[in-house]
Amino acid sequence: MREFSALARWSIRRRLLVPLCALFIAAMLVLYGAARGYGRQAADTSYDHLLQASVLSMTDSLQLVQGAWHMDMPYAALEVLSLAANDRVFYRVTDGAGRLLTGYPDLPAPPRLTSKDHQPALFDAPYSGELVRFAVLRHQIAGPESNAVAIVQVGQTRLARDALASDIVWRATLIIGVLTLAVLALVWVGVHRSLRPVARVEKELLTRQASELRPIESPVPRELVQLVAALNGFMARLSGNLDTLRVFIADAAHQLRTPLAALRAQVQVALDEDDLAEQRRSLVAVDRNAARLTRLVNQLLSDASVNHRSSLQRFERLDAVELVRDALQDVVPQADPHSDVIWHSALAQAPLLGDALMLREAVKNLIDNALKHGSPDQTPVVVTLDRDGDAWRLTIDDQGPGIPPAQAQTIFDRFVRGAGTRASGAGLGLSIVRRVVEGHRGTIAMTNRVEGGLRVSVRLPAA
Amino acid sequence: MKARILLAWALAALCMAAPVHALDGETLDIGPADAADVLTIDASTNTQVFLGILKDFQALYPGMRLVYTELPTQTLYEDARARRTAPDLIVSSSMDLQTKLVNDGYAQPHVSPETAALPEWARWRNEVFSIGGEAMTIVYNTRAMTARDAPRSRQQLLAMLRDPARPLQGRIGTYDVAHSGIGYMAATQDARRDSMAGALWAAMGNSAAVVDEYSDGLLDRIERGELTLGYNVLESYAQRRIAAGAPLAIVRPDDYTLVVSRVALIPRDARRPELARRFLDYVLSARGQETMQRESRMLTVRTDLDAQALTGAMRPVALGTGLLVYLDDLKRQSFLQAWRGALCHRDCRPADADR
Repeated sequence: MREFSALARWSIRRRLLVPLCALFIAAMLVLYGAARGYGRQAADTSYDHLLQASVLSMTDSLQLVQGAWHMDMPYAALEVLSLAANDRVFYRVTDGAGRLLTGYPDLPAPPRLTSKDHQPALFDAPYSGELVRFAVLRHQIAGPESNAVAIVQVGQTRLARDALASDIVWRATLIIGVLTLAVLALVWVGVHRSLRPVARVEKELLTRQASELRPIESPVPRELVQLVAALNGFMARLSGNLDTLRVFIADAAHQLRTPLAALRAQVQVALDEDDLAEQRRSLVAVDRNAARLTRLVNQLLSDASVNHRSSLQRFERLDAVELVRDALQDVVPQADPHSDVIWHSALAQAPLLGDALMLREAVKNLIDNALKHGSPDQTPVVVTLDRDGDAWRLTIDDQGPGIPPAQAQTIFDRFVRGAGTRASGAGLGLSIVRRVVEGHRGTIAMTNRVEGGLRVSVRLPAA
Repeated sequence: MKARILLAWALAALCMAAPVHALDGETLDIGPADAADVLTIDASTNTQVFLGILKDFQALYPGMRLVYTELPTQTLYEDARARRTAPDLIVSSSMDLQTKLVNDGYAQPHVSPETAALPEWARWRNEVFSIGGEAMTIVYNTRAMTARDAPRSRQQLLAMLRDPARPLQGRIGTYDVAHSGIGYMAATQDARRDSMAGALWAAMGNSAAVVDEYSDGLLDRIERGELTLGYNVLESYAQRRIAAGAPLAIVRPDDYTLVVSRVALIPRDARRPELARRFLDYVLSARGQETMQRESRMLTVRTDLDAQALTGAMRPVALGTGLLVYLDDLKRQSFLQAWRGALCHRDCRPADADR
């Protein structure tokens, strides 16, 4: 099993909820920041007007009398600021040279001022242990006097502003918070609803009998149609495989029963026979049947082994020349000593990727087949290996009767034996061969040769 | 002069009899000398006026020692700014100077159910509180003027001053605005509220009005018959004399009657602010206000407890930044200039207004 990161195992609900919630919370934080900025700005704007009014009314009461500034501060100049009920107030009036006319001498200096501004300039600066908002205006009287400049500066602590700002922010935050909760609830409900079909499919599968492999019928949203179709397809294949397996087991049992019954019958005959010669003949028959049974069982095992190995796909680099040569050595001594196999190959090497055990088994089966069915009078079987494009071609020619064209396809199925074959066989050999060849992405074909006999050709892709 | 010395002796004897020690006439020291809790109060209010309140408070907290020092308002203000003394509570009749101390950060806040019950005008920033009101009234000598003739409003006073018969020529007195904090406050509030204030001053000037730095000085002259009528005189002072049998009567002008306050604040560097808070809560409580009305003849500021208090034409001066305007040097100069120009175009009597 491949290693997946923890993320890959996250539930779909979590995958949907986490980014959505994160996105929303981020958006809300941005909104909160904006509300803060706006709150402060709105509060400043409201109270700045008062501060500017104060500066303007002070400026208005300034008079230049014989080169000296006089100011009769209107009561409203500071009274207007008491609309911010708890805020402290500081002011200063200086002449153009910075000499104090009245007020607090140590107020923080304003940033640079231009005489063109007719509106008081605004700035924040710490004073008397608090942040204070100041408005300052440079007042100039046109005239020959050079000192006809006065600077009026009025400041107010920020209590009322901050209270208003935080009130605005608090209200905004309340709305944002309610909105966030509402949206998160909607997202949760939405995700829950959209995942309900998955739960329905899950429930349908869970409540099924193990043997029930019919397609899922619950209606599913478009996004799940592919998945359910794939699942249905998978179940159909599984169902097919199970059927094949069932047939195979029935066939195998049937194949085993017949030689076993024959064995028992011959053993009974041998037991009932008093004549030693007859008894011996029966025992020879028993031996023959036992050998046949052994081969059958071997083939069944081989079939199972090929099945298992082809599903593993553990391929390694091989040499086909050596492989065929090894197979010949294995087969020929077992076969009739008089039989003859002619081995042709112009190739020094034929590299390919494959499972050596399976391939050798297949080649052995083919040569064995050819010797058994296609060599009636010890006529030679010709084995050839050559190159065909990007593949290796192995041909095995015999002098036998060939096969009827109708059987060219079915001959590779399990438990199918060639018509009129006299030798014993379980009908598994060619089935195994085909499985091996197809497992190596090769092809196998049987053709009757014009000059008589059968040709089996196997193509295996070269490495 | 002789009478004064006798009075002083009598007072001293009175103080000896009571468990109260008046030190050099300015400091009262009440309660056990070895007390752990010592509350220091610096105030502009006359010790004898405040004595009743201090004793009542002391009766509530017998283990506490009270040290009460009487000082001029300007001294209270300057000491607080210079942090020369560190009283736990400053009580002053100068609302503007107290407001300025708060504005400039020399006070600390106090919030309690008692302070929260005060009307808006009677507190600012929860750092300065009105503890008692004083009406600015017209006081006349009943031997020189009948109640029927007495002016009921500023308009009537102005008419009387302009009367060709000159009934008040040389016989009217008012505060010396240049030298009295309360007088200055009353005059500036008049100027702010009343468009006829300038005309009134001018008419008083024409009638050769006498100015005095103290309410008691004016009342002495009225009581003696030197003056017939005083304008902007503290009501409680007159009441005390009437109670003692003086031939005086009081008129609260019915166009408006200014009410100034005694205001208290806890300095930022008070040593025992918790004691000051306790005292403040006591003074603002129903019991404290009742005692103050009875003993000091001030007006209650707890309009929630006494619905009749400060209604009608009564106009309490509100604490707040507006009071800072008349503290401004340029403003003060131009105001005093205008006031003198109107009132003292002949020499004010006593002719020391420029001191």
